[in-house]
Amino acid sequence: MGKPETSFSAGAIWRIVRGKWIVFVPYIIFLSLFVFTTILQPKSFNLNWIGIKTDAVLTLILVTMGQTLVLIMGGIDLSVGGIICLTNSVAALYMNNSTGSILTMSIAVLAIGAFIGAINGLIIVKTRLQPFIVTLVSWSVWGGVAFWVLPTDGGTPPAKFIDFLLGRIIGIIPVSLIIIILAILFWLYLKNTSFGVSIFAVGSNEKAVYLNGINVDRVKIVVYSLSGLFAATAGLYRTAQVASGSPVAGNDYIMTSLAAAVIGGTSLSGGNGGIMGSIVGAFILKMINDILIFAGVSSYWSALFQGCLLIVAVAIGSIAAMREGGEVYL
Amino acid sequence: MTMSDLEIRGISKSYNGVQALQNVDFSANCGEVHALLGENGAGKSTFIKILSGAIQADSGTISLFGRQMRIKTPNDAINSGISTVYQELSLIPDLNVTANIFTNNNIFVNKNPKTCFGTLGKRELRDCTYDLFEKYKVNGIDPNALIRDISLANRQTIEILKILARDPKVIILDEATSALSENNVQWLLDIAKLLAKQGKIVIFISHRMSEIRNACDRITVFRNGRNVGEMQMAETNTDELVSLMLGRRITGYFPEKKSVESTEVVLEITNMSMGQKLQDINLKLYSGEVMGIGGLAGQGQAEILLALYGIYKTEGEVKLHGKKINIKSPHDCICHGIALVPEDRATQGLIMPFSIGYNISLILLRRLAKWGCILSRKRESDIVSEFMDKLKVKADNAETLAMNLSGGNQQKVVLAKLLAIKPKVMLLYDITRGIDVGTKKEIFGLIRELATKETAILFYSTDVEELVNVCDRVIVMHDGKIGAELDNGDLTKENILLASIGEGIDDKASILES
Amino acid sequence: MTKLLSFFNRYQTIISSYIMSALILLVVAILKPGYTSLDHLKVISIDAAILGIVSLGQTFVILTGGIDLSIPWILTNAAFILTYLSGGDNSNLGLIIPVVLLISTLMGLFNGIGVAYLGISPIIMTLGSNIIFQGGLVGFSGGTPGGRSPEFVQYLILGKIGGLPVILLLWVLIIFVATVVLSKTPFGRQLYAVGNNEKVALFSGINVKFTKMIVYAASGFTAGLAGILFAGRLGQLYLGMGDEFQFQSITAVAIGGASLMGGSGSYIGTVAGAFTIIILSGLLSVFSLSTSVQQILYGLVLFIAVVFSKKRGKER
Repeated sequence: MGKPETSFSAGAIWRIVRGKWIVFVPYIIFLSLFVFTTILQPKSFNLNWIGIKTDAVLTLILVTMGQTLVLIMGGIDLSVGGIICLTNSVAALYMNNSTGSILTMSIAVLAIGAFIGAINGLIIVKTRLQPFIVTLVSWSVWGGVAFWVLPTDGGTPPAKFIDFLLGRIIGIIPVSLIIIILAILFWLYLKNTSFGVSIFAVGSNEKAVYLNGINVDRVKIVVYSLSGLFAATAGLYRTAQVASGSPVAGNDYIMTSLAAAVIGGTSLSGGNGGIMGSIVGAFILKMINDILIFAGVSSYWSALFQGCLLIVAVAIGSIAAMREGGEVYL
Repeated sequence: MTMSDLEIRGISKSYNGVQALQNVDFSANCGEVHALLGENGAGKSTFIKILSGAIQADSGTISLFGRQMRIKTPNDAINSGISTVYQELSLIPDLNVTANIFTNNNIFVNKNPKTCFGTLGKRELRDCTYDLFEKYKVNGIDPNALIRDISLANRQTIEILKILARDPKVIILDEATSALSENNVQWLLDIAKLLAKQGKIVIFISHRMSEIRNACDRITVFRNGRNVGEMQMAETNTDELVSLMLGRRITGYFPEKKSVESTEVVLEITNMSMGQKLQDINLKLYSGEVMGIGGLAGQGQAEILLALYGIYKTEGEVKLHGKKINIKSPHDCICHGIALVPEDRATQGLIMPFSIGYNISLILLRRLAKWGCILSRKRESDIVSEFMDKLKVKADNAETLAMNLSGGNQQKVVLAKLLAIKPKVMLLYDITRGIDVGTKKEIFGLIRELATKETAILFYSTDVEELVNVCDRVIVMHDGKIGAELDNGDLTKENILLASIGEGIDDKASILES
Repeated sequence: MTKLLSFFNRYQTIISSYIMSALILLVVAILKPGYTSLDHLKVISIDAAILGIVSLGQTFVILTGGIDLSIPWILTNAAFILTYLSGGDNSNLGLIIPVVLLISTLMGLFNGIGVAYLGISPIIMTLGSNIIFQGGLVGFSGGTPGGRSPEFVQYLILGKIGGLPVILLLWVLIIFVATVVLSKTPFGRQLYAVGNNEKVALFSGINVKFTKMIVYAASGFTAGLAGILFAGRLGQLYLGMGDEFQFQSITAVAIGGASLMGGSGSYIGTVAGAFTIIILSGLLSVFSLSTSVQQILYGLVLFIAVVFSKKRGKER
């Protein structure tokens, strides 16, 4: 038998799309919100405006990247909250205005994140406890350490540092936009490597992966370290964006990172999803927030909308899955 | 004494003080298909797990071609050339066929084709898959399809191809035929023979004697965690093997059928449909009869049972004793006296950390409550001991945890639980899967006894021999429809097989000519 | 003797939780004698009672293999709705308290429907609803709610019947009822079955979805009840009064020997867990340790408790 001819008939495309329409939903929502926002503020639409938006959403995107990897692997990482608290506090407090200090502190902060992530991974692998519990504990512990470092909001990160991260390269291109593009490239690369595929594989059927001779423990530890690393970059970026440190900075990001990932189409049961979707998910959350503010809705309500959106997004996914299964229950 | 190519000496393994394997020796040579026989609980699966690195032995050595090996993880086993087709498949549902075939340590991670960026060469991998399909005469499977979207029989085929892609020296087929249809079984047996001819060691485990007779050269028999004999296939016969497995002779394996002349319809299904999976099923189940459901894997047999039990939503009508009933959940079924022995007792039948007593009373909790809300301990223990005695469950007492029982005893507890509701209809989903011969005999006897007491029984089995010998009437499913209904003289193995193939084309896998 | 041994074996988890809380108490007693005076023990018991009542719902939910993270804001909502409706007045409490309990049960029911019937993972559902309840309360009140709890509610905490605080009597009653429900009723048995293996439960005719929904409703109810009591304990309410309970309720259940995977545990154990946590936080405040140390220690205690309960589970 030979290789089948690839055909691009409408029918074939429909067959591909039919089962997977749900994948496109976040992108469609994103585009419609994007169009909607530009119609609301037609004059302000330019590269700088995009930069302002990406500056505001990049912290969330960075956390969500790590969270997404963990979710694809079938885990969950609540410790990102603690890691952001700690890295934000450390960066805000100890960085001074010399390039050397900025560089060493940045590297130190990223190392802290990766280290905490690696500890989470190690504990999960060695004790076989649920990731939920281990990372919950980790959140509490490292959040506590953040309080110890910086008991109340404060710290003044150096202007050079802020100017760079919130700056515009050659005067026009926002740094945050470049970071987002780099994140997308990173994802496109990662998911085509054998390590990337093994993240999906572990999330899909861990036991099978183990029986096939792949070192599941190593995959897990690396993914949790990556999540810690991304959370640390988020903490670092937040330091620049808010120009201050806070020992409770990270706590909100636990829910929102989960929400962004889930809205972007990553399932909590593992085995599917992607960082592209998560980036879109983060933008959706941000844009809805902006629209609410623009519409004059009090900021108190935006949390409520985010919560609703999260639940609706997950519900749509799970109802679609139920329907596709055609089973009442199994 | 010369050393065999695969030489295993003095393997012991115990779980929580229970000795699963006791000083087991085993040897196999290149070029042979070596059958491993034994009742359930004889230690075969423990032995296989040790050999494939899934668990570790307490003591003993494994040497391949005279070199002693340390197998601590599946990775070690695969690296030393031992690959296993697992009974419960080791495929990854969210990856496609190609990725699954190449998901293993040595090809996937290290030697896989890579592009200049270090990413996976998808096209190259797919070409490898096509080569593999061609080599082993597999067709009709799309290499880009996700595993979760393909049929069970195709998954089993992919699982086998995955092992073959690693080019192992030792291939272990652990009940690899259990999910395959008859002609795919033949395909696999031919592959096993081919591999042996190429000078590999094939270890073959199956409960089906006919397959072993067909393909194997040598046989090793396990009993109670020991190796009790090794012989050439040509020099032995089935009776000898069975008595070796059991340690005693067994007679009258299948119970005698009693002719049923009942005209009382217990269960009537009219026009039951569910998408493509079930189309227009009509059947009548008479009181006192055992009706079998046969067919190739995944033709709708399971769906009928699960739909009747309220797991699937279907169109159509179900009548019990002439009255239309509305089934929306297993709860409704149990209220109407319909009971299901599920496919997998470990995940659907019993709560393993619960005691036998708790498991049995689970199904009739409400009936055990006094004053409407408080459980009556006395009523509970009465019922539990009644049904434990009835089924001869071998356990110290009702407090014994289900997880500490052997497979056969667990299945008896499942039956005890269901009989406690005094069912009018019993749905049996492959009730003898992975059960030893002794318990099988008891269960067949029980099924017959229930039938004579006017319980209607729907018996789904993947084993044609059982269908022929246990059932009064057999319907054969094909492509979601009833392909044929066989009874009396028509009920033969050949007819069931013919009807399973139907008139359609079987695109699962063609038969390998060797 | 063998009977005693088998009793000990059977209730090993629970007994060791009590030993643990007794040991911590002993440490406090040695280091700070005044802390274990009768009056102070009463205060400890009152705090433990409130945490214990919150953790009852959490125990139910965790037994079925779920988790309820929405407790903080159900509790806070209950407290604020109570003060809002009553205006700090005793007059209509006979009507208001049931209404508050009903509202919190409905909030729990909302979680239950999401988890059981829409198939949303409990973590996401309750984390999301927690945010919704928070946003709702803060939004409606414009961000600066306040108020004092009615006298009667404060009486529930401080008042005494026969020398014992009313709340303790209430708690003893709740402990009794909860234990009977868990160990002696079909519903209790169903919780364990669902938590151990949903499929088997379903195939055995148990309405798994309904059972799961009910436990969240129950958790909403107990959070509401605790909210009323906590309002009485605090006197003056503040936003964020419930935040601690999110972590503490889970920790209490875990210390009490329940598996967070579901299927094993008991309310009696959770009671010991509640005492352990309250005594521990007392210990921390005795040494005027900062929030940071408290938070770290809570985390570690939870971790140790979970590791221990898992070890024991394995041996069985």
